[in-house]
Amino acid sequence: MIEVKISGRGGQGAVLASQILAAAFFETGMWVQSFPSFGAERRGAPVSAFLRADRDEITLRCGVQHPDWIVLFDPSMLDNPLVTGGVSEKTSIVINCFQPISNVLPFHYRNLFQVDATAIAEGLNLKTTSFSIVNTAMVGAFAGASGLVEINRLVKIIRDLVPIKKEENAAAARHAYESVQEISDD
Amino acid sequence: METAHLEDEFVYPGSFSCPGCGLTIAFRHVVKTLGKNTVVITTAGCGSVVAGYYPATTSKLPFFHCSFGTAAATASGLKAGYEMLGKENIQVLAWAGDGGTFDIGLQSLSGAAERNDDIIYVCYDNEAYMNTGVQRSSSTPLGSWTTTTPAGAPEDRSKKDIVGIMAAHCIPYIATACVSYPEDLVAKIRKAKKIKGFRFIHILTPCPTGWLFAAKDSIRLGRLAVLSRVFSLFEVFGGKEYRLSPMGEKIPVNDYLSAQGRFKTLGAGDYPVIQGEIDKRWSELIALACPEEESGS
Amino acid sequence: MTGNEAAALAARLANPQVVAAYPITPQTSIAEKLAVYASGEKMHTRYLKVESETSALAACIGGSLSGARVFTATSSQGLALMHELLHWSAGARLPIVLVNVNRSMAAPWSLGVDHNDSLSQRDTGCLQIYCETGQEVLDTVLIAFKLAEAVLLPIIVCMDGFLLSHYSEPVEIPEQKEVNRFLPHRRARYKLDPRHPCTFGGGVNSEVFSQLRQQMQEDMDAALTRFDSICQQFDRQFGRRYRQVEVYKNGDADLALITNGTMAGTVKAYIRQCGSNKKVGLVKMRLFRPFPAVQLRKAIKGFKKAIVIDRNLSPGSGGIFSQEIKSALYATDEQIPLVSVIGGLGGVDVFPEHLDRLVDRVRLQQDTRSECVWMEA
Repeated sequence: MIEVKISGRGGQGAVLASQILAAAFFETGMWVQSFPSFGAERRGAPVSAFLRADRDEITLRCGVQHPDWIVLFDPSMLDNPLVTGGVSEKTSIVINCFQPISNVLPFHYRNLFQVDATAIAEGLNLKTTSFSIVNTAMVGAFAGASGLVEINRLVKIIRDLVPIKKEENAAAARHAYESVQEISDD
Repeated sequence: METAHLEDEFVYPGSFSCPGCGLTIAFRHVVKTLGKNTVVITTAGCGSVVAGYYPATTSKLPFFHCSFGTAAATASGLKAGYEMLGKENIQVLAWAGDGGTFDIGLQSLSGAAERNDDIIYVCYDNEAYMNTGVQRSSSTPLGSWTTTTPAGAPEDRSKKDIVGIMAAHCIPYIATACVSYPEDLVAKIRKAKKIKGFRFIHILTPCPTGWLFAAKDSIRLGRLAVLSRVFSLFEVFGGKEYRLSPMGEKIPVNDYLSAQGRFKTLGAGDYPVIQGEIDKRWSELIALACPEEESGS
Repeated sequence: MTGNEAAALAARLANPQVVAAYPITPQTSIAEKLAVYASGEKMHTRYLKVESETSALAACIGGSLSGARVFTATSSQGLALMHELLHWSAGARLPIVLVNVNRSMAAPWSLGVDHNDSLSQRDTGCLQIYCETGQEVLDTVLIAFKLAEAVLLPIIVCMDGFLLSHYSEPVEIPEQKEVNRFLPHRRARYKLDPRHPCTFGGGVNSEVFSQLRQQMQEDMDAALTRFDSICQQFDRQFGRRYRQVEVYKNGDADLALITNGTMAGTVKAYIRQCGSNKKVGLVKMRLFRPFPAVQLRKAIKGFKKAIVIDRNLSPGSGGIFSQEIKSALYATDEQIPLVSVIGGLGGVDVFPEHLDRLVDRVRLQQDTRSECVWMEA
């Protein structure tokens, strides 16, 4: 079973991102579960969405304790316990960041991936008055980093599920898929 | 502008509100004006959540969360207790949203008003059930999108005239206010503080999250609401004597509606209907305020 | 889709003429989804935007008396506000279907799941069915309409707040045509009809009242059989068979974990995880009212000890399911040692390792008479 945590700020589209990924896994014949973190969701407040995927039916009903992957929309949340809670030696992370990230992280992640999703989103005019809409870029980056989701399938699902600017969102995913980079430990 | 009232704050910074939230501004001014000897009863809604989660609170005043719909009744009981214990100078503030006032709270509101219980009831009005995700209330204006008046079936009823309902109870003091006009709001709270009996204050508190506009524009939206007379500022004494507050020159309602995403689905034919409704209410209000005069603007 | 979406979809497929709902977390997306359906072509229903839950159920009572099929949904505080009218609906013998998204009761405010809200209504005369998955929610709402209209009592279909209402998972959607075949239009025998004027609900003397309640009990008993036959029909049409009580175990399991709602899913995952090493099995309670005593005793056969996990608490007494289960097993061949555990109140997460520690602890426990045990964090 794969467990993924997607973290961002309320209004950045973390929940939609988890639904897009859930649909992608589901189409490959896996059983999926996706759900948001619960509690007051004010715009700008830290928010997480979760995803489980498995070959067999998932009957487990509880929070994700130790995610295999963290997809982080906002690097300012890197040391927020809501994001880092449950990080273990098996956790890999994909971070939206324009600065090179190295060993300044408070935790040692199994694999560390970086993409400048904000630049990609803004380049395609994917933004609101409050935020750049990085969610679709980040799902593309996750696909590239993890190899668990096929990009063409992901792009098709994005076109189906995203309410507006379908082509721009699809392009953001593809661009991020191609530009996501692994950061090595040295 | 008077600044004496800025000395003491009765809210701690760091509430849970969205950026640009109108009601937290309103709360800050209201409790600051009422002062230390005040106890707050609040009911379900954004107002209760922004006050914080255990173990934190934004309120420096004693603060109780009551069940939905019972703000007025709970406040009435509290005040009665204080009076019986010889503590009648403790002010009781009921702080409720439009959902908890216009809808589920209307029964207990009417009861408290009818008894003329000595409390101040402030309704912060963001025109929908915002805390649970923007569902319509009877305060939601005509033409507005909400999640239960979705595209294709926007709100088809006009905003309930809560002030008219309260006026029918002939309570000593009613006032409407808007966070975009803080001096006016503060003056009205100050006035209410000195009056005994049931006082009802209706404050328009713009909500960027539910009305769909940028957080930085909250104050501007409030001003547009007042200027267009969508939300007029006035007072009612004894349920009969209406007094208009100074507002700027009246502007077309279009300026207000077009600034918000929740009115995006209005068609060309809807604007004149809404303008007509606003104009009619405005002239009715003028007639109530100036019964000898013909009309005004 | 989420459990809430499944509930709204089931309601749409059942074609009620009147829907009245008031928003409350975590039910809100049901009310919103129904508003969208009602505004479109797919659902021909009058959606009443009521101003409180009391009014929501009152409107459903009125709607049902016209002969229409009605639906509402709520949660915790909202269900509590309906309390008087739940008694009323049952006494008035109205087939109202109500989806309750379980959420812990204030004070203080709490959004997480537990079952005190619905269990507090267990004496009202309404049926209660608990769901574990989104598929179950969809199917159970359809079954509930048919069952309610057969036995003439309201039914509360329960789903765990957030853990089911907000979890998105695969759900098979039945075709409208097939649903229509399973659930044709309501044909109300008793209704307010000027052509056949009647007075319902007026004052009665003690004897009549007592007879009416006895009748209600008899109809509740009959509802057990009716539930099974409706579930059989559902299985024939849609290929999914539901039971009053369900068992999930490997051959030699001798310790039963008895629970309801999504907790049963976590227990299943635990059983799968530990294989036959721990010799545990799941007894999943679906029906709570009427209480499925006979099926429970059947399900218990073969187990030597049981742990009841109550995601609820009757303060001053203990777990509610465990009380009713003990009562059903009392002085029967199936009366086995039973440990009552309270876990997951307020939405506290219960993970397989909690279950594992619990199982190990109970295996060692000789005396099972203690009142109730709190699941360790």
